[in-house]
Amino acid sequence: MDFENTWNVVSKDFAIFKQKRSIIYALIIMPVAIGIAFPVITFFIRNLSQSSYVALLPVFTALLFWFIILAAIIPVAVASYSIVGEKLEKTLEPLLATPLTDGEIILGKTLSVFIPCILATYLGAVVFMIGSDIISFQNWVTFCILIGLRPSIYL
Amino acid sequence: MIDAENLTRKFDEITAVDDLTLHIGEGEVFGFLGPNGAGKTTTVRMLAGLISKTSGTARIGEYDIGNSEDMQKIRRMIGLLPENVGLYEALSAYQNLDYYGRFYKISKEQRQERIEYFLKMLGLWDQKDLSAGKFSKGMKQKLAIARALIHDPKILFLDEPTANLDPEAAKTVRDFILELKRENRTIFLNTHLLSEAEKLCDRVGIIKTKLLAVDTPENLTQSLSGIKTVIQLETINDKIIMAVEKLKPGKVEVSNNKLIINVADPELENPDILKVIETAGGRVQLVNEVTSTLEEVYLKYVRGE
Ligand SMILES: Nc1ncnc2c1ncn2[C@@H]1O[C@H](COP(=O)(O)OP(=O)(O)OP(=O)(O)O)[C@@H](O)[C@H]1O
Ligand SMILES: [Mg+2]
Repeated sequence: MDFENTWNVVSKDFAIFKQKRSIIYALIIMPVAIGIAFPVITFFIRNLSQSSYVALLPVFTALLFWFIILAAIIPVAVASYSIVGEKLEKTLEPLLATPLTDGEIILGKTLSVFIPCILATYLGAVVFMIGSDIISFQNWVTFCILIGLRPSIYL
Repeated sequence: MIDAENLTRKFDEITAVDDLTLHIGEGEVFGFLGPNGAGKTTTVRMLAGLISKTSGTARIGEYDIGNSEDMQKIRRMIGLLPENVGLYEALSAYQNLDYYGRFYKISKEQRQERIEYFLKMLGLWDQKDLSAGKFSKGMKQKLAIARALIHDPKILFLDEPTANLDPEAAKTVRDFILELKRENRTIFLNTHLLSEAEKLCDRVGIIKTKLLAVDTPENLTQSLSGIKTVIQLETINDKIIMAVEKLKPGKVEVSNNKLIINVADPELENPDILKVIETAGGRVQLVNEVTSTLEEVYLKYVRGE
């Protein structure tokens, strides 16, 4: 296994992702929008119901579920280009004719999906936490769930 | 350079390539002809290690295609133009070549130099930053040929390199193939264009699941019906025909005012034939030699006549 070869596969995929607008949307706009929208929603719920912060905890827990959904959607969008794209554009055949080994290609493909998805989910999480901080809802449980558990969904 | 022995590939019940034995020398341009579904692409895919063989053996250089360590070495020696070009449509022409260069670990400077050379040679340099998805079919084909050459391979597999090309672009590619031949590369060429095979190839093989014939284009065409001398006369009469037949050449046919004579050795027989025609009072207008065309040979084999 030659890591330079693997990395060449990854950087080739990244160059392709850069050209695909739908991947950019999935990777950046979706997590950021959710990360901003949820604290805003919580803020309005609190204002309307005049409830205490503690009463909002279940609302946050419910909203966090959307991050799990996000974590499921993003890899699908990315993988559909990284792997299905190779099949559709029939680029697998010339790729397999190069000295790259199957293992290097598979690892490269895995990383080219894994890396952007992890980054995108962390991005959404960070935005969400900052957004929550703005409505002064500091809660380390959320922090632990975001940093500690979310990425494990991919594994 | 390419040596296949009893190479066979089956897809479930279908046998795509049956018992192929073939030897291609270094620097040879070998043309592979055959109807659709004859197994040409399957043969190339086996030799390039993209699919496994069902039985038999094949060696590229001194390496065995059945051995995965050898296959790794073979991949550095061969360039492949697949049947479907398979370019990354979102990437520019330059990027497509650049990433393939990286897969072969070519240095940055060398990549730049080679990409510029090939793109200029194939007339794509002005479009180097255009994404490959925006290319016409012919432009894609040329780009894929450049990609196959990026690592300077000794052996090239070209699956229908001039399919989709306009006549001028096809000529550019053919001239390019001749140039590659001068550089002593071994070229395995799948094609449906018999004229192309005749122009480019040292030898051609005709396949229809089984290999039906392999030889130089000249030998194939001559073996079919020999060489014919066609003599056009002002008028033909029986006296002339009888005089010619007395020489006992091959078959003599008459059509309009032409005599079509099968000859074994034209240089030896033609002078005598002309002499007896003149003596018999015939006035010769035109003398021509015809052999069967590669097309006739091809049709004879694939129709199984
Ligand atoms: N992946 C596959 N699965 C099943 N059958 C296949 C596969 N690839 C090829 N075949 C069969 O193998 C036979 C030979 O196909 P191949 O593509 O080698 O023909 P070809 O000579 O390249 O034809 P063409 O001139 O149309 O390109 C065909 O009968 C085809 O149906
Ligand atoms: Mg084919």
